[in-house]
Amino acid sequence: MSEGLIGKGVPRIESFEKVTGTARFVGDMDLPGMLHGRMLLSPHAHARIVRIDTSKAESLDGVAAVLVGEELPYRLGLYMVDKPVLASGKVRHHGEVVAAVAAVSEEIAARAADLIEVTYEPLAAVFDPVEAVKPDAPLVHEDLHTYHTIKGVFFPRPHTNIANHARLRKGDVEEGFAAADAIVENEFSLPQVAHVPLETHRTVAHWKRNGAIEIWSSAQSPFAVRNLLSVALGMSHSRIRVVVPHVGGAFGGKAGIHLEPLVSLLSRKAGHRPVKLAATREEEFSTLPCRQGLVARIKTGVTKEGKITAQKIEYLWDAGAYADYGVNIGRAAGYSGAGPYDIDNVWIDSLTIYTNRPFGTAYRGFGHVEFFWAIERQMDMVAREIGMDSCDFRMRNLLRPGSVTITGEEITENTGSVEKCLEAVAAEVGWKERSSLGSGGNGKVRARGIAVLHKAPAMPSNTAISAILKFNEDATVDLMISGVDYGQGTATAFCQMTAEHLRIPMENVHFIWNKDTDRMPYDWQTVASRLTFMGGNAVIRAAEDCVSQLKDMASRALDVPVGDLEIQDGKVFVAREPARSIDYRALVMGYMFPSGNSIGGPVIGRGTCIAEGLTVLDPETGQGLPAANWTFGAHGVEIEIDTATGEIQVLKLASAFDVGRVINEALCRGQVVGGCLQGLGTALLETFIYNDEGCLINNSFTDYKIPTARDIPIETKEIFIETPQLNGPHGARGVAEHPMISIPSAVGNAIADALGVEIMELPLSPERVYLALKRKGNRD
Amino acid sequence: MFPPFRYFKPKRIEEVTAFLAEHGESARILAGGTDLLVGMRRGEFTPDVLIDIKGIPELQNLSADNGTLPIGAAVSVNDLLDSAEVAALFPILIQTALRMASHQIRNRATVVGNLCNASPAADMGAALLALGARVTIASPRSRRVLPLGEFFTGVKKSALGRDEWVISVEADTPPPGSRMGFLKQARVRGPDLSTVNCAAVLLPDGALTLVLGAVAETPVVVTGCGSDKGNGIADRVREAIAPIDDVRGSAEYRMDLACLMTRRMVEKLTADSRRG
Amino acid sequence: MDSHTIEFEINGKRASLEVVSHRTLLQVLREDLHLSGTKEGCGEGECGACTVLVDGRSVTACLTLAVEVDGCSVRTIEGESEGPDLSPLQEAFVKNHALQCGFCTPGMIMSARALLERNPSPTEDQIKEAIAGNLCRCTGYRPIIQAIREAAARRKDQSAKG
Repeated sequence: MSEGLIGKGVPRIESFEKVTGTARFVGDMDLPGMLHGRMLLSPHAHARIVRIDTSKAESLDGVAAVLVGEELPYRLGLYMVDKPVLASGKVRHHGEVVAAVAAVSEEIAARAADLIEVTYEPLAAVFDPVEAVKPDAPLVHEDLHTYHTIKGVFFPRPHTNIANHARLRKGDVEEGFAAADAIVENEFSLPQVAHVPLETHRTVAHWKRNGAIEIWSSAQSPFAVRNLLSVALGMSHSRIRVVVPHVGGAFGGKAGIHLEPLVSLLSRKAGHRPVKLAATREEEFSTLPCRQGLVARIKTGVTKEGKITAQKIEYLWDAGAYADYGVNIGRAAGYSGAGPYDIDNVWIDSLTIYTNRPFGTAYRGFGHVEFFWAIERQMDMVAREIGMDSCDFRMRNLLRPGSVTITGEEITENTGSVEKCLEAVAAEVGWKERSSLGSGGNGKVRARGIAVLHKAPAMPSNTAISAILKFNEDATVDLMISGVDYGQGTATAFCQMTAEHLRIPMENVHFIWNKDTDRMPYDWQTVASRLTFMGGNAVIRAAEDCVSQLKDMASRALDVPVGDLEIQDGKVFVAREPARSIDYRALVMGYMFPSGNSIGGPVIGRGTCIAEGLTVLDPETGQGLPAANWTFGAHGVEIEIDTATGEIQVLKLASAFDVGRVINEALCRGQVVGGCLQGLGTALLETFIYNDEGCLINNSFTDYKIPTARDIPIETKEIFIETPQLNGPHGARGVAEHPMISIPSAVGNAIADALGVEIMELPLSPERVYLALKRKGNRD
Repeated sequence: MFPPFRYFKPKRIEEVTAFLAEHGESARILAGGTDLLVGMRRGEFTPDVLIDIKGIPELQNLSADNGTLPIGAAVSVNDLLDSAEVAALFPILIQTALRMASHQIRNRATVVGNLCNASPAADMGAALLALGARVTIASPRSRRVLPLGEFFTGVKKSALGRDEWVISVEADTPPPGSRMGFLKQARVRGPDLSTVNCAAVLLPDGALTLVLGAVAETPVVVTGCGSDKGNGIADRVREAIAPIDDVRGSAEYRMDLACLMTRRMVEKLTADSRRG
Repeated sequence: MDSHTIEFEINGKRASLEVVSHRTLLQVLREDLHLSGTKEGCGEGECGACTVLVDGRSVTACLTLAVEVDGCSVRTIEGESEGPDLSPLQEAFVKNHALQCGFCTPGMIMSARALLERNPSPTEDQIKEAIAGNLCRCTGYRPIIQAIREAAARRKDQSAKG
């Protein structure tokens, strides 16, 4: 019954709640005496706050609290502590929160927020990372030199807009360029985009009279919220409780800490009544964080045989107004940003740069969707320059066993195979046969493109997670782990692993859904495609701990050595005499001999996992071990381009990933199909659009479009390569973020391959494609 | 979340007219609400009174009579799609309706509401203009009939006076052998506003009425002859329209799309007529 | 404040309620009737998370005033099945892994319900069209389309047998 659960596409365990609408999200909560919060947002991109008059708002009936930044001497941040709870002194982006209200109803809170009078004095603003690094650029943070950060890991440059400068130096790029037959230099860019979880950020907080805080939040990481709040407020962790119920999508945008401090402080000021705050969709776009923009400059040296001799890269990240999380994206690009290639000489400068725009944070891929747009477009352009097939060119340069990554890590047989991924997708889309592609007629052109990718979890070297398995009297088991499943399917995968290792039916595993820092064991954060990998190890270790306790009691009960015992079907039995067995039910609360004497006790298994073997990177060269594992992948795409309108229809998308081992085939496929469409959103249509004053003008679904059911590829193919990860649970690696990475490059490469236009910016919207074709026509 | 207002649901046209006369601009007509309520949420409108017209039987009218199709002010876009009569006589309206908004929105959004919102990108505006439709306007004084071409006066502006409202739009059945079509270019294949739209009717005698939307302050009507293969008319379109840069597209792209869609439309209609 | 007493049917049960004019059907469902399965994703009718059926037709409850449903029959996700049972449509969603975070799921199922009631044998294009107003950021839609196809096929089988 438990045999062979690993790999099976069992339906997700929380399906019933979700299809019946009974799954409880934060917005569905109501507490006695609960107030409603509302935020007042900055209409300016950069302005001094001259005066805030809250008197009218405060005197409105039903208003319990009005908060402004001056009252809140707290700063927040995961890596760079640069973010106030409310703007204080000045606003740094359009949509920044300037004041907040708690009132008895949403309507009164909204009316009160409208009654707050703020006088601003606009300041010179900077909207472009290229402009922001110039010496005379307006400063977004004058006090950068005073901000707390992780010393030796992040390198802010005081009195500039540079929040972090990550460096990677391998070999000698000048020597490499000297050895090259051709040098190809290009600049690529992509705009900020939004995560667009269907559930906006929502928080209920109750700052109780005894000084303890209780928070329910749509967050990815309950312990990170607790820790960052504890640090910001100077309050003991044990006084703060964070509960995360079902979460309606996150994609990185709910990692770290967001509305929780503000709502807690509103509750304190409102006489310790609980307060609920639900971001509007407009606030989700302009107030909550987005994905950073990027300008990438790449110079590649290559021999005429197609060997890359050197690559020099400059990444300029548009962090927006705050970089509390964003600095680590720039850092990840520093150690990962040359792609899965074996290159002797690499130089990367990755700069995280403040601008007066809404701020960026983690978003599915953590920088890799962004820089792979540049890297994988560049690889095609280099191949074209030397007249080589771009698939052959990649094959010539890809990492393989024996290669050394840019930070000095040796690739082994068990690291995973990007070559196999590329081979698979190239075959699937008929890359080599593309010259035979017929025209769609009527100005429609068919095109194929390929691109590869890799990513490792981007996390501190001491990242840890823990799991507890707690048996019930009937030998069902409660699984407690604080990684949040907001749709990935990890909870189901954990139940499969638990059942497999305890040899019990999956329905006997009870997954504890609400993540509660008061009751659940520690986890760092649900990010980085690390949960199945690290959490899986913790769950398996907890199961093994249970098994050892069960066998220990059974050995005494049956009077046989532990080594002679095995488990199956919820029983411990003697290997050579299977009839001699004890049902778990007789063991899980302790074993009682016929005499009444009892031994053992309730069975509770404990498992932990820490990111072993990682190192802090050398500050000058970036050398070290940043990656717990690498998941490699590749996409191949066939598209049809309407050259008269610039519209693109994706006919086929083939995607391959070396996941090590598939734990749940259906849910793994679900991550790929969904992630690929998100990647197509970035590739084809999504972008923030600003007016000249830096106001986001498409902060609604009317004008920020994401793919709909009519915008999906005609055909998709998901391919899983299984090169086991030696330290992964059943050999598995993460694959949550990877489907999104390099989709834009594959599409861009297809356009260039078929039509000869090199588009360097995203999105590849009909208008951009059309105008690029038109300009080319004009030039020829 | 909307600011408070009073809600009336009259049963007769005259009551609506009387309410409007009494409350003037502080009252708004609520039909499908899909533009009105969004505008109210964004603070663009703050009416004190909403007059729900869906309780008035005459405004549900959607049956052709004597060669004319009246579309009452409470007829939803999906009502139109469900009508076999419309499908038989006005395929252009079906093509248009299918490209408008989502199914849920079309269950609420009305055809007349799409006209009264007076967006330059209104898809029904373009299609009904191509059909030479007229609106019937009620006021305390009288009823008047206005050609749709005179109804649109600017971006979100119409010829309606402060106590006037539209009770229906009427289109005459085109003569047998007429060809008609609707084309739309948008950012996604799913529900979206038009970057540019194009509606046209080609009469059996070769007279062509072509309308382009989202390329000027109001939909632009260009007339011509179906036999010129679209080239001559594309030139006239280029002169007649004045697109701008906005969040949905640049002036340059819109200009080129308008010409392209004109050519594609003429090709399509003339090919249809050769086949037909 | 201007209020009205409305009488309507909610998931097959009669209800009489006093509602303030400016409250939406979504607010009244969630806050007054405690039917929190219907979700708010945008408040502007663009995302479809609040899709419910009014007299059998799908509408976005965020752009419908509660007073407007006086005399109507309203169906929400809570009316799709009872107790521990699931409707065939819901079962098809489960079996086809047609959900991830679950936030769009109730609205998606209501759009599918409306489709199957007006068109028991929809084509793939008709399914896509019917749910194009329901945004989903997680699944890539393909499993949802498959679930609706399967539910339609099962209905057809059953009605053939029945």
